[in-house]
Amino acid sequence: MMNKISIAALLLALCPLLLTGCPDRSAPAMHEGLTSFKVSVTSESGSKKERLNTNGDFDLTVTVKALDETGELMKDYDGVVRFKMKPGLFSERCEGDLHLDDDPGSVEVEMKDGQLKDQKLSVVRSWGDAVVWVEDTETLVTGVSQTVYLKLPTLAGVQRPAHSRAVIESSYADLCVAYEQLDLAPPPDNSPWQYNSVYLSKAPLVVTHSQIGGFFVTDLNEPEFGNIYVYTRGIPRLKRGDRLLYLSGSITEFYGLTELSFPAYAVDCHNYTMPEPRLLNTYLLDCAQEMEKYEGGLVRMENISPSATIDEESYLNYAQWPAYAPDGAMITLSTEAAMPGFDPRLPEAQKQTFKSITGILRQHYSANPEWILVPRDACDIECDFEIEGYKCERPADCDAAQPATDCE
Amino acid sequence: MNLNNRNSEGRRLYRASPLLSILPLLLLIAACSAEGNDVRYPGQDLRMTFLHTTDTHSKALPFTYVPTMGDEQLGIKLCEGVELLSDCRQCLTYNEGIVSCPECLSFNDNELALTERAPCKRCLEEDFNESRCRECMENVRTAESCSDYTFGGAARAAYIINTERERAVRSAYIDSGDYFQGAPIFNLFRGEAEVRVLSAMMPDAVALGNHEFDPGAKRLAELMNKWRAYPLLNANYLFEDPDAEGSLEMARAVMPVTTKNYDGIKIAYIGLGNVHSLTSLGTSGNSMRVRALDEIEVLESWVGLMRGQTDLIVVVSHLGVSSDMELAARVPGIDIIFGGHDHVVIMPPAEVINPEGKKTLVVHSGTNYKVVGKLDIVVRDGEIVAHEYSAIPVYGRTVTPADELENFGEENQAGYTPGQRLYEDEIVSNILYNYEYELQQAQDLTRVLGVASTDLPRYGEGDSALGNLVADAMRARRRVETDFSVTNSLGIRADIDAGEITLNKLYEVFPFENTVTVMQISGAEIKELFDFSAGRTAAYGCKSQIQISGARVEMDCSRRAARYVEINGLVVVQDYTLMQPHVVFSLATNDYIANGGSGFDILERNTTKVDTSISLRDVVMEYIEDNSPIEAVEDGRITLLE
Repeated sequence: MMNKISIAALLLALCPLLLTGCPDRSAPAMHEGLTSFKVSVTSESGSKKERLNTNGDFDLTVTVKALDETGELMKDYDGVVRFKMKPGLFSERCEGDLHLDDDPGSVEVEMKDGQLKDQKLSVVRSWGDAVVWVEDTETLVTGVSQTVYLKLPTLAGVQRPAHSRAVIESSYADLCVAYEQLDLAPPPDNSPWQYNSVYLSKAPLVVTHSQIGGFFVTDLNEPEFGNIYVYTRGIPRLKRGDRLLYLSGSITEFYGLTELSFPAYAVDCHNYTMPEPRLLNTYLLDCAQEMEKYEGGLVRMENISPSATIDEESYLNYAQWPAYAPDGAMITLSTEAAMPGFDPRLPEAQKQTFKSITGILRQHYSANPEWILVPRDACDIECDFEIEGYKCERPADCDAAQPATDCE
Repeated sequence: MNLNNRNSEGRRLYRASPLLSILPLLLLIAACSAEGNDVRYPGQDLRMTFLHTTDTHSKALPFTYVPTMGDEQLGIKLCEGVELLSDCRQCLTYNEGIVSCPECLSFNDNELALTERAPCKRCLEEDFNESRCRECMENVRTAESCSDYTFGGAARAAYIINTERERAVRSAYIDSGDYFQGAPIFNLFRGEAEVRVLSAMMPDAVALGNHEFDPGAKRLAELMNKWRAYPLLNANYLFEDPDAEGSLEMARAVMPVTTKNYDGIKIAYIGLGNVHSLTSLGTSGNSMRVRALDEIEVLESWVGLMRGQTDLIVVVSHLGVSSDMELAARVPGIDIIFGGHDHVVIMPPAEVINPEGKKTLVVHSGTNYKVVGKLDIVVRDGEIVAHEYSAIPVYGRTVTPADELENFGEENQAGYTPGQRLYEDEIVSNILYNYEYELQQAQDLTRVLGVASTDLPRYGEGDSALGNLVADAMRARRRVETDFSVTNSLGIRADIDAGEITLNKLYEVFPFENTVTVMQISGAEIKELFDFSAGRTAAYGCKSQIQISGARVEMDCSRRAARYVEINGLVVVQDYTLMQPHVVFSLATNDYIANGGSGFDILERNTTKVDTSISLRDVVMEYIEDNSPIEAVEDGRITLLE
């Protein structure tokens, strides 16, 4: 038993311990030496309301100061710092000979006396709310600049190749433009933004097709390159014609098809305007760079017939078969959903012609041809023939009036 | 205080209530729960590195594996560097004896893309130097014989984690749970090796995964009590029944939150456990009668409590990607969620806008120690201002520093080159040594059971080659011999590649100790079974969630119902309509879904069930031995309609 005074004495004795907290078990003493960098972009950095009208091919000027633990300039700091653009890429030069180290897209610069004034950096590509990241290559102590407000990413921006220089490489010289590929850039049909995260909003993103596993979306402001497949794994909670409030996710590649994976999205309204399908022809199909503009979007082909040479395995495993148009254009069709029961291998079937087939354009390296047209349902097929076991006709209710939109 | 006692002199004696007497101790403990000193660097940018693993599933020892396309995109490629370095070798052979090699440099400059150049960078970018190009050549030679390259391995992952932690300004190591179940080391030692290894790796926070309950509550509690040396976090399980075996011990072992100071950054870690798989606790004999609390309510409470006291709130979750994304979107104040359960790598981390308009990062770092996730953040006055993430592959050949010196004349300064040479952490390696030795003594895991003539994948468009083999094996087994069989696709945990099928591979396919259960089932129950299966299949992207034998079924993913079911030639369901409600068939299945696992309530309700105690792994093993070479059979017994 204790009396009041003893209890008070005990508490008083413990006070200092309680106030200072537990003795440190693992952390080091106060950090000495280089603690952080103060990074400032001294060139134009825009604002949230007035963003810089660019996503690449521009220069920044940056000033860096090394700071010690008290936040003061560390004049005796000499070291090499690495600049990175977050998100995005730097390079010393945009064309020709590039100095690249183990961290592609970064630039290393020597710093003396704790300061680096007005370092010029060439930004290959960046978007949205970006920052310049500066780290000491030895200790990895880091500093980050204020936000540089760049043009918000768009779907087209995500898929358009990083650099372009008109180099004529096709026999259809006036229609096919080849893009010079930098060492930084992945293969021609990959998105240059692969493994980046994007947040898309303030654009009319309309759902052109929804299926188990994901949905396709088009930016009506930029239908060329502005189409993408959003991979949701399960059944997406939206339908054709929905307009999105926002869409975000990681850009990935799946055997040639650019996808947005691990998405977050919200539906704004329904029954919005659908994009006009792009009519494909042999000129376009011969030029991979041109076809990339429509990957994931709505396209149409006219007067096409099944090819006489159909790969059995491809047909049986994936219900895919090659078709050709009178001008020689070849494409792979995937028709299980829209035309169940139609067997293109039958001799009678190979004599038939479809007036037009509309659908989503996909790409897969293993397909032959690798561009695949996937009609969404029977309304995408214009035809009028009957063969044994199959009657091809467009349902009458396809052209019925669509429900009114609730979009503003 | 009790004021009534008086001593012999009549003076009052005050007896401090127990609470008052230990109040200072409680306060001291509370103050001590936050490790690290409390320095502050106002206005300065502070870098913090998190290393992250999840769902390591007992892959403490390296294993062989054929990388998927997703793995290759992460840089995990079989025999990385063989064909890529061949140009360098060709160049060097061509220029052998020449002191300077401008032709070599220009040849390779034009031919190789950036990532392919990296291994030979020094050869290519500097003036030709014979010893340096010889190093490049040695790399080629090493890469060529990559048939002994393996994946994963806790000692190799630990080396990478420790190396990165030493390099970092501030660092933490997080694991999001499910470190049990998935390799023979678990079957033999029931989790002891995994807990010891994880403890040696010194994580700052570990989530409680659903598979941690697999060895039983009592065993889990024993392991936590004896070997655990890390904070085990869970805020949404209520171990409320003290009479349930292991419940009290687990309540003591687990804490909802822990905090730590990292030289100017104070972090609160909050743990969340899986809810959907929690049903298996009640149906698979591991029940501690744990009650799952609503994770959003729990998280809102803890975030609200910890926000004012810390710079960052980090959730260590085993809920799965969808739930993590939903939490990020609905609960304000979370800075990062390190998640698991779905075995995926989110590259780069998802940035979800939370109710306050700020971004919450959602990080998932794969499975099986195939990668170590590395998240670097920059924090300024309690806000994350920038981040970068990479997934470091744990793939290559294990070497020691002595090997390096002997073969390459120079030690690899980093200690690891993912895709080529990997070091092991000595402490973890020593822990595993005895377990590995005993494992080899107990079972010859390299024993070849048979040969697969072709690949046997576990997923197909409808039925799959491996699924059909498993279902056929169950149905045909003597003492089983039922009309049809059904097993869940997710219970088949790996593909079988063409070639020799070893016992070790079978453990990868069937890591769980499931047995065969038989029952009598009516036509009405059959329709309900396949309707449920169709719904589940639809939820998983219209990939069949069941595998069958002795039956044919068409499942409609859009309608989430079975359109057609035929058992032993008799049509039970046609055009979604039940044709034979009263017919009775015998069914073989596994004990997990027979007891209602994964929501198979229709089987749980069946009162004719008999557990045969025949191991499902043994059934498949015998089938392979009796029927080798195994051909892939995909006969369209399951058709899926989208």
